Amino acid sequence: MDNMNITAAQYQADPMSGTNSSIKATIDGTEMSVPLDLANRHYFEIMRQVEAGTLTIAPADT
Amino acid sequence: MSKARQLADLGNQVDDGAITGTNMIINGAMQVSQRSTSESVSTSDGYKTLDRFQYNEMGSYAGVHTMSQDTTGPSGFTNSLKFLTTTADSSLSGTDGFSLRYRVEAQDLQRLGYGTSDAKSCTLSFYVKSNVTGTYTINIQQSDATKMLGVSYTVDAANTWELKTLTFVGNTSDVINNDTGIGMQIQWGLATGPDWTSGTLRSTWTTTSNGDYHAGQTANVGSAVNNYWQITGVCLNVGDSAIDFPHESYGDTLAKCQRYYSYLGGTSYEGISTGMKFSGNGSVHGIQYPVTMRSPPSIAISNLIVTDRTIYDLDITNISTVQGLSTTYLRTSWVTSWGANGDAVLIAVKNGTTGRITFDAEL
Repeated sequence: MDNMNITAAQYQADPMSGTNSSIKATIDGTEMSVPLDLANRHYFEIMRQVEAGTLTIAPADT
Repeated sequence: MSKARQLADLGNQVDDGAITGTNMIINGAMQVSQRSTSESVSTSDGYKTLDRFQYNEMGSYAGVHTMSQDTTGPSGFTNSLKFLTTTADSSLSGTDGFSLRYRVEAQDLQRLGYGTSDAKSCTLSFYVKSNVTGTYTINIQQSDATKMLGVSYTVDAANTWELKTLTFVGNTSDVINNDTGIGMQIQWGLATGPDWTSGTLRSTWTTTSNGDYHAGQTANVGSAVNNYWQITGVCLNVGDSAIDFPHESYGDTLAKCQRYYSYLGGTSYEGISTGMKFSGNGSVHGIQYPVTMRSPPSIAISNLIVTDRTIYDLDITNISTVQGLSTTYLRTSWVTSWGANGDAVLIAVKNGTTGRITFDAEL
């Protein structure tokens, strides 16, 4: 487990398909686009914090 | 030396991986530092400077360090990784501490035969130099099995490069999954609070337990300002003896590192990607990573502009439409309010700055 400071998270929709395809998150002060893949350590940590109840992912803008 | 002796030595080298297996550590000579060559580290874990080597902070550790790519090393090495203490924490409590961490990709460890009766021993070797003498520990974890063991070494003489060679046994019980996840984690303890040292250093693979992680460690690199600890020539090879460090070209090491982190960019107006305006206010771009990455990467941007035939230097500030969908390629669309559909559009580095788009697929 990594010690990451995640301060914001919001789903982003693929402009071509319209489905959620990434998460915009601020991680240790850097804004990132994080793919929805558990092999990605940022996504893994986001989901771990969501499961722990310490982080909420906002829905994509419509 | 007799021919028989030469052949015997050659055979031993083959057994230890010198010819067939090489080093399972990438960037062990501390050559590649794509992110930065020097950063102040505290508070959170992260890959801050040298590729593949991660700063790890534990508990409520109060120390602050400069983590840098130093331009000194033992004979044959021009670089090393250095921690210099800038704010001390001399009274460690609980789980306080910090370490240097390296993670080996699981599929690259299949040669070890873990989970079988033929599981092989490994030898970890490295050069270390510090003003803090004493006993240090290294925790080695097998993530898939949640098991670990530990080894220790001493810095005997202050301010002197010393070669350390540590051998540990294979795990005959638990398989390392053949995938792109973490196969093995190596953690050099540099400051370890009592919760990490209260147990017994393991010599065999057993279930993780906090007190055994760094049992026996006495050295604390963070105990005083200007303490330092340097490492280079890190090698992990199959077998019960160390091989000579297998030096490789900068280009080969860089390409290996880029599987886990890479970037495109540079300074003023350096081009990153051409694309095409495709709708009322958007352009679409495809960007291929320098090498195939371990997993779909996280993307970050800094100081980039988009330029078309009528307007220059429109700052890119919105990362929302970057889609790092695969291990080879990302697609992105940026807002551009000018020109006609089909016009060419360029993404470049903002004038007068250093800018980049980064791809992070680290373990």
